[in-house]
Amino acid sequence: MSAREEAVFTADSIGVAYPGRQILKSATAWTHAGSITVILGRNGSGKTTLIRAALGLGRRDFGIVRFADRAWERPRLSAFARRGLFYLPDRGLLSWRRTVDWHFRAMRPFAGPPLDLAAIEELEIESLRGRKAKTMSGGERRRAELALVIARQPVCLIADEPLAEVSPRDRALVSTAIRRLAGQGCAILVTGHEADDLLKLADLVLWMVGGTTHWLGTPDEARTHSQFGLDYLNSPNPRPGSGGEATS
Amino acid sequence: MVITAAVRRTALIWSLVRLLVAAVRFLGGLSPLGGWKHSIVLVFVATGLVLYDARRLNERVFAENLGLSEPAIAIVSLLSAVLLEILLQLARQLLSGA
Repeated sequence: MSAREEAVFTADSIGVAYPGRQILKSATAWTHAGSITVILGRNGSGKTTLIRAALGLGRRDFGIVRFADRAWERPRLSAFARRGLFYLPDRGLLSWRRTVDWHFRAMRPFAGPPLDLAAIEELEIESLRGRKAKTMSGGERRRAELALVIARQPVCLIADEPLAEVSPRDRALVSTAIRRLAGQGCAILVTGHEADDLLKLADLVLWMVGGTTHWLGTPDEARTHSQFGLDYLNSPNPRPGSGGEATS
Repeated sequence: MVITAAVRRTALIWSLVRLLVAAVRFLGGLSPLGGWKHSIVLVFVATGLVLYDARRLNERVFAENLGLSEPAIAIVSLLSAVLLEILLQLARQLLSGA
């Protein structure tokens, strides 16, 4: 499933430039209901810049965002959130001096459907509920953040490096939870560097390089993409594969 | 709870700013509370500090994920600070008139 027309969320032809430096020339990312799109790319390639620009949290010089059956020339995260989008940033969602339970209570009046608290057990955060974020490890915070995401039952999740600094055991828990969320129909867009885990998780892979995104297709197609193998996976013997299709 | 937290934070920061300014003015031989013009400046300073504090503590993105925009939280903080200033100035006028 790659047709962008059917996507729940599309960041289309996003460009970002700072004086003397063009970070995004024209980057495009999209995701469908019940599907996980993974954006891979080297450090500094602009993955976070793309997401932040698409959500109105960072600079955006051109490009458009489509979400909730509407084209947004001036995207705003708060407006997207009211329509069911959830953004999991790379540097933590939880407030440092609040407990996990405070975040759940704070979320309750704003959630449409009743909160889905099954994730508390699934992500093994029962013992963390009374703790403040500043006393938790990176992996514990990530699990708690994802439990909040799942409790909210979003129609679309944009997660920036959800597996970063997370132990293999916690990575498995987080991956399973993300997959379950997709299984419930949520459209998910994920970035990261944990290529093995992310390629297992992905339905569609985008490669960000040179300020733009390339559609690589399924994880199997991405693994056999010769240039992607050489330039990103650092695979010594990349198998020749499809040439990839530039999306923008 | 996010709104309540913003109001509580505003009250705390406004109190601290008020105390600090009152102490400086008192040491400088001026009236500790100041007048209405003084209040307007303090309200904006307190609101700015509230928003800075919310960003510092990671609360901006969480609030936006709930559908609360930063301007909405800024308005809540501003109104809270204005209300506190009005109450303070009214109390001052009542006490000075008594």
